[in-house]
Amino acid sequence: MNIAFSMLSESGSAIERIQGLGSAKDQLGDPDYWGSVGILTITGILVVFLILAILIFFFWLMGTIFKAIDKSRAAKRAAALEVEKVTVPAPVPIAEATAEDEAPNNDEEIVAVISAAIAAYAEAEGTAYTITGISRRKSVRTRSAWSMAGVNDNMRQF
Amino acid sequence: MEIFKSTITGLIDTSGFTGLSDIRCIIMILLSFVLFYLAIVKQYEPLLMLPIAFGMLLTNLPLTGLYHPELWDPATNPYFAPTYVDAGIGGLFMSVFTPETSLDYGKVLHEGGLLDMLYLGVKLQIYPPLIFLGIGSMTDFGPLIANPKSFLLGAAAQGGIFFTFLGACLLNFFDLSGIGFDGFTLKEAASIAIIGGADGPTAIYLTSKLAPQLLGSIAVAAYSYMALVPVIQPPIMKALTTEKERSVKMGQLREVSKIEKVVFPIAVTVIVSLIVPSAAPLVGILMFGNLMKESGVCDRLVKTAQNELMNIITIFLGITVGATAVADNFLSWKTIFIIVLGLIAFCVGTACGVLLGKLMYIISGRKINPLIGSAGVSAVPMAARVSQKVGAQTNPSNFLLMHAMGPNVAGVIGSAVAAGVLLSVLG
Repeated sequence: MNIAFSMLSESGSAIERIQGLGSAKDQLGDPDYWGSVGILTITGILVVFLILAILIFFFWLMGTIFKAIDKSRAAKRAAALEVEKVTVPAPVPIAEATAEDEAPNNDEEIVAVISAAIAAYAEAEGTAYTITGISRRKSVRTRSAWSMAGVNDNMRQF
Repeated sequence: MEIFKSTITGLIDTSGFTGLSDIRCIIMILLSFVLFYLAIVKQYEPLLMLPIAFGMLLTNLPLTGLYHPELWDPATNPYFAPTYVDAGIGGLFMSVFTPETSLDYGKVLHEGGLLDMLYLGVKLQIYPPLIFLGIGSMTDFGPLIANPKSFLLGAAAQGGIFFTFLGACLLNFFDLSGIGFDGFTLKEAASIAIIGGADGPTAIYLTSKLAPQLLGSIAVAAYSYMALVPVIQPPIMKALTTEKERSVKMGQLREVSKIEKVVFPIAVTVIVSLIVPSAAPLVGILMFGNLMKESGVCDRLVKTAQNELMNIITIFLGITVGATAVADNFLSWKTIFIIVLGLIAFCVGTACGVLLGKLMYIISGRKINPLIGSAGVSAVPMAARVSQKVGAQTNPSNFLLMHAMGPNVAGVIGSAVAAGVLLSVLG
């Protein structure tokens, strides 16, 4: 950093002199013109990189500190949860039972929804559809079609 | 009858038609029509392009008196500072000419038109920082805090600025006085180069300080190219990367806590202002807007900064920057070279960002997609959208947007720092 600034201040007097010359042609005639332009270009890039590198270091440090704090908090929370589990073991079986009850009901609803969607999509006079079976398509992508559609919808505005 | 005749001739003499004899005014008016077309039909950054075009139209219609270029030139409106001189026998007051860029603002206030008054905000560097206040209050620096390495990409894309500075100086090497081009001074070269920062307010800020005579051309070039980012960037990005590099999926960014988001603007302001004080008006106010947003305690101020204030300043800035595009300044070879150099600045900036992205791809063990590098040329959020789009073309299930926002907002800080560096040496 100091080297960059000392280079700048050394060429600074030359740049000041060149600027005092006014027109572009007179500036070009100065013997230090290209040297000053080169130094200004290189130190300019270096200073930008240096400042942003300092910021990277600062925020990397901040990030690691906060990650450590988060981890210790999460560990505390997990420990607290474990204590709760030991003392209150009751609600788990109830939740399982309700889930099983609702499962077949849900399936019928899904069949009805899919049938309605197909009818709405491909409806025409004099045609009738019979749905013989509904099975889950083996997805090639990592996201489901619905999740993709949702993400795409959110991204569209960008 | 005589009275009627004299009234009619009087009206004709004071009408603008007598001033239209200058063909250059007519060319400028036609050019403003082209900008209207770009703003309204093509929708190139219409929020700024339309006011710029209208300012250009108003200023070139003769005898309107809205804007007086001669009031803004220290050669025609110099400032004489009142100074007390002790001449031995008592003393006397004298008016001392202050050279350099000192203007007689009193004369501006006495004789200026509407646009002269509004232009004070550009000349005194009021508008660009206020626009930055609005930008800061709208920007989420979360992706940058989650992945600080993005700062590097934001710095690399500023390579376009310094490359173009060199390019503009190299242009002086060729003797083009035959066609009426007498070269760019160092200040002018720096003002042109800042187009590569792809950041309108920064470009206007630096140019109004270093080379106000080029303000119109540079603003038009900067905003046109910013609108053209989706056209300019993809071919460069595709040429410099392989399909395999473009299809890299990046891991999810970590969640950033509120404390980090509050510390960020304060830390950036302190660090940047201490190292490059001349970048403080831009970076400081940008971070002030961001702190207001992230602190969550001054919602009313944030709403004003994001909406009303930003909109008012955008109108003032656009119309006055357009008004500086008078024929004398605009219709010259300089404008044409500015447009060419501006494009080079954009292309080189994009290329530098992508190339550093490639380097980070190799170093990180193929975890970083080099496409996010091109977003380092600020132009928020357009450049990040371009990274997302090009990435999705290669792999439709790839979502780079949030990863590209990191370098994108780092680019805003980077170009403001670059402007500060140029200003501290050349200002």
